[in-house]
Amino acid sequence: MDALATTTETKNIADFCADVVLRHRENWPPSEDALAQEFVEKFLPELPSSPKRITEIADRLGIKTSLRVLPDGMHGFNCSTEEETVILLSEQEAFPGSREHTFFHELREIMEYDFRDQGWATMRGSDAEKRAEQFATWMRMTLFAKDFGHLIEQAQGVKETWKRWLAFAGVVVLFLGVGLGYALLPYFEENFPRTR
Amino acid sequence: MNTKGFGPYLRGLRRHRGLSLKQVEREAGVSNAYLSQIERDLRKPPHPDILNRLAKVYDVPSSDLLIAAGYVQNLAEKDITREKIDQAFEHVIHHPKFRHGTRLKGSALSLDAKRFIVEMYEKMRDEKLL
Repeated sequence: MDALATTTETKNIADFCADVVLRHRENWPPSEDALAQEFVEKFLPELPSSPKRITEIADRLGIKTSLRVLPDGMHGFNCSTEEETVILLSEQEAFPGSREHTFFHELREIMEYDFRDQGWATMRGSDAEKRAEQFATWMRMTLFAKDFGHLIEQAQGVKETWKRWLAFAGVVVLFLGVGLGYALLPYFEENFPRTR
Repeated sequence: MNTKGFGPYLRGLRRHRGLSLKQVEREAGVSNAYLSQIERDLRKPPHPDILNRLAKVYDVPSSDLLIAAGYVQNLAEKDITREKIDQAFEHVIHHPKFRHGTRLKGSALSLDAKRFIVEMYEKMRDEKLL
């Protein structure tokens, strides 16, 4: 690992992107799962509660976010000027977790602006949407994995052996189910009509 | 004037900010009982003065609430030609200081989506294109 990578203090998305470049420039671009894990470690060491998660993360990053009625087919929108960065999320979503997924998708696009500014673009053409989608899925999986760790600890605390194994099995089934749900969300959104 | 759905829209804004009805009452000076009825579409949308106060608490432009409540005509309903929107959109996507992206269902931007992006540009850069 580059020594500089450990000495740069990460304060905002641009700093984070600079750190990522330092760490991964020998093997560019980094995978989206690695990027998601590093992002969570830098900005979300302690987990915001789920209902307020989006607004809390946005506040930490200095991004304005709000719900809007967006044009048909638009899940979310991000834009930046010299003064501010805004993420708008559709008020009408049919699936739970859609807004969080879209928020992370938009966040990845905002990160890409900084990568480009620094001369280290990671996305080109149609690849861009795919990578932003992957990042969003990995962000949600990474955050869920942190919850999963707590559940495993709770299961370990069960005294009776058979109940402990039952608890482990339950946690594993939950992990697989939620993981599958996160991974398939874009497919469901694409193939089923949006309703209020 | 169709304001059906205004209540759930308002409730969505409040929940997105993680606020209770009582917190909104404190910050906006609007009775929580009254707000609750509006959110359930049991009352008509409130006066624009109240909407302006709520917009500040929910951190959204007042125009959004005024349009949703039916007080102001949505820009989208104005007669703007496809050609004008395309021209404005071209200006927006080539502006070096305005960066934007969107998550879409499908891959093509509709005319409505282009107009929306142009309107966001106008709002954020305080520059009139349409």
